[in-house]
Amino acid sequence: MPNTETYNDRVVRLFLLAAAVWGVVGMSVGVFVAAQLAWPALNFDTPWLTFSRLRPDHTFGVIFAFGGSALMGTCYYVVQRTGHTRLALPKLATLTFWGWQLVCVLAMATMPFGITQSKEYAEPEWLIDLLVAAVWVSFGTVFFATLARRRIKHIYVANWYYGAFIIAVALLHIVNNIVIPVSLTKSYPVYSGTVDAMVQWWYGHNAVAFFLTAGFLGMMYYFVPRQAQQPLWSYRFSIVNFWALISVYMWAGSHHLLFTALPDWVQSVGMAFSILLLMPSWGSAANGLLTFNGSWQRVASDPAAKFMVMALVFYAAATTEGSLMAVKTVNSLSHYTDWTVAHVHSGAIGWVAMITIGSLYAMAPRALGRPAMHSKRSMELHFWMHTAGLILYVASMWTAGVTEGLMWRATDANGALLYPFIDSLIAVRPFYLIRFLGGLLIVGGMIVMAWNLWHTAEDARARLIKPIPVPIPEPEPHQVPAPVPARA
Amino acid sequence: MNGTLLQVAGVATVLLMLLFVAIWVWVWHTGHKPKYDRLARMPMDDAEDRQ
Repeated sequence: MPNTETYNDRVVRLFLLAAAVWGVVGMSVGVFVAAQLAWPALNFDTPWLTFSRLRPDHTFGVIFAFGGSALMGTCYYVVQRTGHTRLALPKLATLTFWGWQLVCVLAMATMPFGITQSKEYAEPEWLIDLLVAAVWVSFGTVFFATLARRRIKHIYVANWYYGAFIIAVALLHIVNNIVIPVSLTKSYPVYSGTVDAMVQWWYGHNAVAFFLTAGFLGMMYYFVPRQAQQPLWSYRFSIVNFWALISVYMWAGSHHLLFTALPDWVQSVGMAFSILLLMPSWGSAANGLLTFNGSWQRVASDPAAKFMVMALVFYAAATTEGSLMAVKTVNSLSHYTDWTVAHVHSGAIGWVAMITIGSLYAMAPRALGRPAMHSKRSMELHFWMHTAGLILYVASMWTAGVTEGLMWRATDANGALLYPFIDSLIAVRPFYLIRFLGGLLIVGGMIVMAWNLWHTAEDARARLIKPIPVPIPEPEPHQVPAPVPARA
Repeated sequence: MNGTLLQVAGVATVLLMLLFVAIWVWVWHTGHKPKYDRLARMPMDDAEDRQ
């Protein structure tokens, strides 16, 4: 019987579209709140337009709506290709798409009106949290059911990262959101005081670890060799890095609470594990970059590869910086300053956004039934806009952060503070203007990408796409689970 | 932390370090090389599966 099984790329296309839309929305909100810091009158004296109400919309929009849609879409794409099998439970997979979009819309529509748990990166209230849990369990069910019906015995390393991302985020989300609801729109956490802070930053740091790192490393381990057209530099090294990363990251969260009421030894544990994190972080960055050995000429001519190389450079840089900032001596200068903002954004705009954009450009033509993206020149334009915006953003915030840190702890001979707080605000205002310009360039680049994707999707909109057949390999000896037969 | 807890933590740390070394040894076992070489090339197949 001829093989008629095809990949399910429909749900991948839906997530691709959502990622492009949320990318523009989430980053636009970011530019607006950046403008508010430079020109406070942009609050318009309207509560739901204030920085404090809109900032969670920016973080939720870029992390969970943009990043989450890109992660789920690429995860469904990669698990099919690396297992040589069609996505399991297609209706549930489609439901995860609509469920996730509903989560994002509800969260972003309620937070500006003060309906919030006031926990960073976990702001949505308990009803939305329940919906997140239901969608996430469904997502995990589809992923692991697809893995179970794979035709390749070994689970490719990208799926290990995606699997860890799914399991850990479920654990983090549930533990950090155990609350007592008092109304439909208000709840209180079961934790209190320092314990609440520790649980929150165990969650917050591991949201960075497993959502913004492990998931995107899954993306990297598939799309970098694919785009470089080179085998992964060291498959063995990728496995060692995986176990090192997931073993170490869980213990580093307390570095967010240095110089607080948290017991000193817990702060030191966080600091020590943060230094250890350098090893798996550099390991994966080196593995990705060395994969381009022998095909560096592709980087010159391929904008998607450019995005990936820059992402890996910023992954190495941001993780090095993060480990250093977890050292108490450095943290005493950086804490509560814009240096933290620079660090977060060199990871978010440099690593996460650039590996996502590179992977979306690599995946989109295949998922949309085209030989290439509609416009290579606009991909180049996007790369340079994004890179210029990124450099303006992080350089200005680094400078602002160090300025603030130095001014805040400057004392005279009697130990009195040399500068009132307002002086530090006045000193950093020019850097807020530069940061706003950087943000404008980045959003402009995202609009260029959305335009390019829209034109690349012409065949998809006209329903002219031919599904891609699944290559059916010969079963390996003693393969467990037994591969499923091809089906129509 | 009290003394017993510290001892448990110390033993656990040593065991975890040994486990990590064991993962290195297992991964670098020469018998795995052909399989890993094949797997390292897997993403490159994606460009060829369009028919």
